Amino acid sequence: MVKSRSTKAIRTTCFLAILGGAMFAFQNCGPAFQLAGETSSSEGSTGSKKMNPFTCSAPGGQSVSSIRRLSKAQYANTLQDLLGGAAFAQIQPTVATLPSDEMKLSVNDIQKVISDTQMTAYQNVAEAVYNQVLASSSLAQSIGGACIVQATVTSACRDDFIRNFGLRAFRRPLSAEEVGRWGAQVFALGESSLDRVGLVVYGMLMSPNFLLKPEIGTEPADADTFALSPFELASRLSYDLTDGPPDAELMAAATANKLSSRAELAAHVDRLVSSARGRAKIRAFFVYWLNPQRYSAASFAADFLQGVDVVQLNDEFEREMFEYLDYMVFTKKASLEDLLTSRESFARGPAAEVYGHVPHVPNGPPAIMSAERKGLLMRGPVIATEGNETHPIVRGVKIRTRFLCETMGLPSGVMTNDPTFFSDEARALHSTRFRTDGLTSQGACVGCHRLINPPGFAFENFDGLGRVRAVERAYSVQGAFLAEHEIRTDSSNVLLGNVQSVNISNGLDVVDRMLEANTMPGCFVRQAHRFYKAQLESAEDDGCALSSSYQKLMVENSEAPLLEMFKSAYLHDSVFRRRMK
Amino acid sequence: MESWSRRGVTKMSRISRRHFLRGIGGFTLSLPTLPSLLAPGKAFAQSTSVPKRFVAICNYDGYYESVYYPSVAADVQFAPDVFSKQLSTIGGPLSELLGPQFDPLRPKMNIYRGLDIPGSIGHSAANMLCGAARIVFGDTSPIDPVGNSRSMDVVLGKSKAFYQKVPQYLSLLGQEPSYNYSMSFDKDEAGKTVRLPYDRYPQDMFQRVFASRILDPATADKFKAKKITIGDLVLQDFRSLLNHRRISSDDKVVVNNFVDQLQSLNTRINAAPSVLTCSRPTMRNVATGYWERMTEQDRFNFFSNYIDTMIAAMACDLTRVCVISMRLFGHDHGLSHAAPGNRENQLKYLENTRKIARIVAEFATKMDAVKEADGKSMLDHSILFWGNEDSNGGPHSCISMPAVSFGSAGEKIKTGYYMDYRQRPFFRHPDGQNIGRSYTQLLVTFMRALGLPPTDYLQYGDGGGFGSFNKNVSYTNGRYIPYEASRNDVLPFIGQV
Repeated sequence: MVKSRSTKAIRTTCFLAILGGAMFAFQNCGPAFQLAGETSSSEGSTGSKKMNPFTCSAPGGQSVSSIRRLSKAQYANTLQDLLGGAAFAQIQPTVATLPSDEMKLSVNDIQKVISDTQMTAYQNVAEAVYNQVLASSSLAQSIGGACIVQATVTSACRDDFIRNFGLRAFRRPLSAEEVGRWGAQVFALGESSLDRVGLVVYGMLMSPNFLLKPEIGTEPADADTFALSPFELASRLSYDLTDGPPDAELMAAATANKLSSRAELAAHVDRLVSSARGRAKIRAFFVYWLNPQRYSAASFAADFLQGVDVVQLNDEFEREMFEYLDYMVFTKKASLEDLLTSRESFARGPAAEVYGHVPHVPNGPPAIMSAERKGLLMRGPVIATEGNETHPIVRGVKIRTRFLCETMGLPSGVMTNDPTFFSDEARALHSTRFRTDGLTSQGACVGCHRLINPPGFAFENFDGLGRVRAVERAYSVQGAFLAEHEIRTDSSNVLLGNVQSVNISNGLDVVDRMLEANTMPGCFVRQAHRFYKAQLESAEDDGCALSSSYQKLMVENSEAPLLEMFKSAYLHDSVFRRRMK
Repeated sequence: MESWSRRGVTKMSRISRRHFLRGIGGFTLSLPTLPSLLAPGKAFAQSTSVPKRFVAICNYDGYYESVYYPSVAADVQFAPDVFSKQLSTIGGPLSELLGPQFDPLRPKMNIYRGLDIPGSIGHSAANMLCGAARIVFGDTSPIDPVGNSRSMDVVLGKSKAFYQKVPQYLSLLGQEPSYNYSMSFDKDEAGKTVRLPYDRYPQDMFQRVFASRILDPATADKFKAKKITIGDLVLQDFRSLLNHRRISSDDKVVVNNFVDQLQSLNTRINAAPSVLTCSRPTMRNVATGYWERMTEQDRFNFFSNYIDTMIAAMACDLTRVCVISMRLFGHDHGLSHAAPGNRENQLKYLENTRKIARIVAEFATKMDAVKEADGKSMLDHSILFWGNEDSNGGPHSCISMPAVSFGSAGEKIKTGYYMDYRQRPFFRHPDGQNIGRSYTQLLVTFMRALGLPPTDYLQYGDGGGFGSFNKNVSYTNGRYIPYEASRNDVLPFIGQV
């Protein structure tokens, strides 16, 4: 017999399902609660979507909290460009051993320091390249020119090789002193022409000028804020926007000192953002922002799945979402509002069935999703949760943290398997919403869950696979069907970043309400800034860039608001300078 | 749950099998499998002493107490709240989880019960190897262990008492690709918690450890000297950058770290043999990519590849610390949370946990098959620790943390026992288990057995010793208070050799 909520006291904890459905007890969380290391000092004021929440008070430097190393993707792309595709393919397995450093959820995912594993991996890659050069005269020639493999190498040939390879590896010209040093102290160590080339390449791949992205300027003054050199600026643009080294055009512009105005940057920024690597970076941003998940078939009961091939569905969800993003950003030149409200879809196979339309024909016009869903937020990878029952708290947390940039506080430390809420009997009797409410509506829990639960409940008309449902089908732990429950998606007095609380009837409403205010778009701008800069924003240094991005995205009538937003921070005066901390 | 990789995002794809084979030069395919490739005495024929090693196999989501422990009681009392049972006296399988594959290992293993981390919570990656509560949890936050905690594998890796000579690689850390959840913690120079990176595919680990060593011995020796020379030159560049006036204090943390790592690398290059002194393992062909696409056999092969790579690396003394993190084969996190009284549920969960047990037994058995110069096995000189981030599956509590160890670290701990450290009379925690003593004592026992003096580890915790121990945690009526004094002691009976 299931005890009623009134007869069994709920412990003095609240329960937050998060990341995989684990139940955690939280307290002291709320919209203003900040996590250690996640503080942001560029909070703006809440208002309508046309009200820019960021302020630009001192358009001076653009901060970089510390010198940064090449990320794994940047390292791989740089090597690929240095060595050429065929040679790079040979060492790619070794490059793959570099520890992963993707920014998955926050800037805290990127460790400032490296481990011995990482240093060893750098060395192994450099050694693998050395071995390749030793084994391939043609590779040595492609790196150092035809003269470099001659039995007797002239000093001019040697210096040209060091100068040219160094320029590409260090993304800046080498000084005469450096050219001399690499020649006298590294090239001279070699016992054969190939050995000499290999050693220089090995050494340069271990150099701070290759592994790091120093921004130290060229001005003699000691001011805290200083202009970047043209080559540093080229690297900043290229690595931030494409995860790759500056291309030939950018290097040529840096050499000719033609990167000194926004007008001079504009064509480069356009080209970089639209390049294959630039597009991949934008996709990667959306993966970071939305934190899409895939769950294995083992997470669901057979009766729940109804024959759906979960692997195939996940693959198709993923492919479709990327096609949708590419289409919206580059083809349709969409706004944020378009992105979050369009019902256009490119789904095929099982994903088309889930989205309620006939399969999209490749290269054909987009299909239209059923009326219950729209935009990014209601796509499978974003809305899926683990298991036969939904996890409204997981969905609510995603809204609050990823879309509204709120943070969650500390868990209180106690969890339960309280049968009042987690037994099969409870599942048979009550809906997920009812049980979640019961767990979280008392004591210290309310502070958090009055924020988290309503937007989570709003998507209760989508099951764990993201399918539209009219009723909730409850299952036992063993996966046996237990009962059907009525679904409620509405809530009153919900805080969604608007000036006043709002009433919502479902997930479609959640999206619409968030789009009315500047909190969610402001969060989007903030998230993009964090991803592209790989650091938290600060009001002092980044307010102007953030403000400019917001203008492009939400205030001005930009031709391509999303695309303009991605570019705007790199077409702003602050991009030319750095402020030391 | 599996986070999206950047597979569909970037142009850089996973290694194809063709590339992989090309990359390793084709030398692996004709090699015999472990342990036969490591002839008795071969690995350390030149060594005067056999090194000790530490291996950890880390699991997630907890366990069911009733199927984990032997069904018979540990009934021989050694001291108050210290009970033992010789594993050899237990008829039938050790427990529902620990089946016949563990029978040959019984004299060399221990099962521990009643070791708690009061004050910690479930899904804390700091539980198993730090023995420490975590301080922050969240969607966007790091999962930091309390205070100055570091994980035991990191402490070992940095201890000169453990590494009498510096190897080429400090530690090998591998995990299944569906979970990015490191249990290894360190601190950076600024005091910020750093989670150590794990390899996500055994091919990557193999590649890093073995495959790039393809130079012939003569060339390798010459190249080694040149690498050290170039390393010193590059160090000068780092130092020159460090001294630039536009390098901020934040920058210095980064550059100094590079300097330290490069110096360490140069030292390791100098100390390591130019060419391998033992054979490389054979890698099984396993599809890469999303874990959900792998067949069950692929998954077993996946872990066998880790095991063989790690054992070969230890036999070559390229590392002395290896950690594997793995979740359940069936990814039944939901099952792990269900009511512990549900027998059907337990059996389904057990089915998957047994697959992990099979991998643990494989690791221990293979280590036991590698004979060292003194005629004993690698396992005899090591500790293989199988643990979990949580204890009881339902509430994911931290009472009676699951722990099984293999090996005696050179007869420094007693083996062959089921140890029960729960307090008598029993006192039941609201989460459903009877409380015991500090789990940190187990990690301390391991570290002492592996040769570490207390000065190498006591500072890594909440201020009161290694890990954390909240004696005043609620629901326990002060029953932990008497155990605070012994939190940094080796475990009675087992550790008192």
